Amino acid sequence: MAEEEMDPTLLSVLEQKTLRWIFVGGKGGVGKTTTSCSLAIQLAKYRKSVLLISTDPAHNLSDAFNQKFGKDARLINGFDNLSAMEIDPNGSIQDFISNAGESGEDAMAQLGGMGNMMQDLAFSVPGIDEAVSFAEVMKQVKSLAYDVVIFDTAPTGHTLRFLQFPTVLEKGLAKLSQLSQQFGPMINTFMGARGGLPGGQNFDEIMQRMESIRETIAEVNTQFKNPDMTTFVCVCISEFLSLYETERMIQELNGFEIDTHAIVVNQLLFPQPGDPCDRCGARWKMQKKYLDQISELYEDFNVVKMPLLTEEVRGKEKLEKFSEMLVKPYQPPT
Amino acid sequence: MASPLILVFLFQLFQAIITAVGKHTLNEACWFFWSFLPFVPKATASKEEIRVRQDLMRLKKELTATSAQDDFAKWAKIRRQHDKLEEQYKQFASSQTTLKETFNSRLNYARMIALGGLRLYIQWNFTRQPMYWLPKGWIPWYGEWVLSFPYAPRGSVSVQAWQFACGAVLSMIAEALKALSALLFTKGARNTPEPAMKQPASGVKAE
Repeated sequence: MAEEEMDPTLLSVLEQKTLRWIFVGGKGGVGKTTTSCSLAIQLAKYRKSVLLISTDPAHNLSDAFNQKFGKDARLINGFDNLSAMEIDPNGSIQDFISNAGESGEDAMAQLGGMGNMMQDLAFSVPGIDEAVSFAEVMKQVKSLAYDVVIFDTAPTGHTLRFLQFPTVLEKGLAKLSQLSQQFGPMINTFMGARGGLPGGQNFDEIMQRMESIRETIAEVNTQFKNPDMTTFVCVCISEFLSLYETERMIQELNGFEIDTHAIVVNQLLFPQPGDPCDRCGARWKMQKKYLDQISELYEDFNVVKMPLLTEEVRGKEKLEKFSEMLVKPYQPPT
Repeated sequence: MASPLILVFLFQLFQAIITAVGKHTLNEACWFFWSFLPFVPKATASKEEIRVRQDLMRLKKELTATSAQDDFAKWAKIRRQHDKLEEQYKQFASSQTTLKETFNSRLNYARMIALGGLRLYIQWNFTRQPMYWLPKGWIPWYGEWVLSFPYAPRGSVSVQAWQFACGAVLSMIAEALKALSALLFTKGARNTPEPAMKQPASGVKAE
């Protein structure tokens, strides 16, 4: 470790102009949302436009910025190039199903035709509902043309599943579209007499839709695996379980070939001179032990050490102040 | 004229033995001998496999010896190695099973083709030949017609009828042997514990 030590800041992430997707993830309650908001604030200084997306079903962005966010990207008060949106990875399949029909059709007809078919599909293949909604979100995000997108992901298990979708779905959809090319004409011949499927659609249309989803996902998949375009920022606290989860997550990310080279360690109780709190001292001792382990294990990572503050980090000003420490390492008072 | 008679019988006997031994046992035995052959890839692969397994065991031991709480960095590093090796080992195991499966399926095909082919050859070759002649007037004409079915001369036994008869008798014998052995072994099993049951009783009395 005597050789060149990695910078203890997120500057490398901020200055890497080719990055398009940044994921922020970790165990629940370690400060993912605070970290992703801070990262977004800092990134907004370096880039033209930044979008912050929360995929956590328990949305915290609204709380962090004291502003209501929805399914559509909205500028955060006080910024002109930083937007935020909250999506529910489980909910948007419903939107997808109801959006599927022609706009002029009434809702019942849609449910009878395309809707039914999509529902069958959604329930027969495990994970496809989430994957399709993911694809829809990605499509939307891509059309919005943001410079960089930050995902504030749900706690660990969820995140990894989310990142797994592209691979799973691409395989499934490739098979489906191959089948449709073989049997599509036949099905259309049968359907032809009645003028298409009950919803007023024809089979090819549905297949084209699926194909376009597949293309989006394939593209996203290659981008996610490209370390120039995508990186994952791990957030943890200096405790055994959090560290354990982080290690597991990093190994799984390696398995998905997703780049990760930054760890943010939150809630550190740096000792303060003349502080009478002996519980803080004891806790710092324990945190120090795991900090040493982190720096030994993740030599080639940017390990950012963030202090535990005495107040909740909420609102623009506090977040901005907090985000400074991602760039300039916190110096404990001596 | 005795040779086709005996040939058909031996063929049926052979088939009866195969069914008695069981396809699975036969395949296992073949695999056992096959894996001893020098040109089979399994022999060289298993050496590597043993090395991986030994490493895996060593790492497992190290992993339990290291405290994750006190030495997380060391523990995690061992864990990474361990996971990598485990992956490798799983690959070995799966390749081994697929190797065995292909071997089994090929063996099954080979046996099916060999037995079926032999049967067809025998039936086709001796189809117009009488196996042996029946004394005249023993059975009515329709019985003669059935026994000489399809192409053997009237009054003789055809190869098909002979094969069928051999098969039926052999399967009956096999059933009888099975029943007999079951009878003997269960009897033996029932006989032996009986004195053993009595002995402790007498021993208790003696004490």
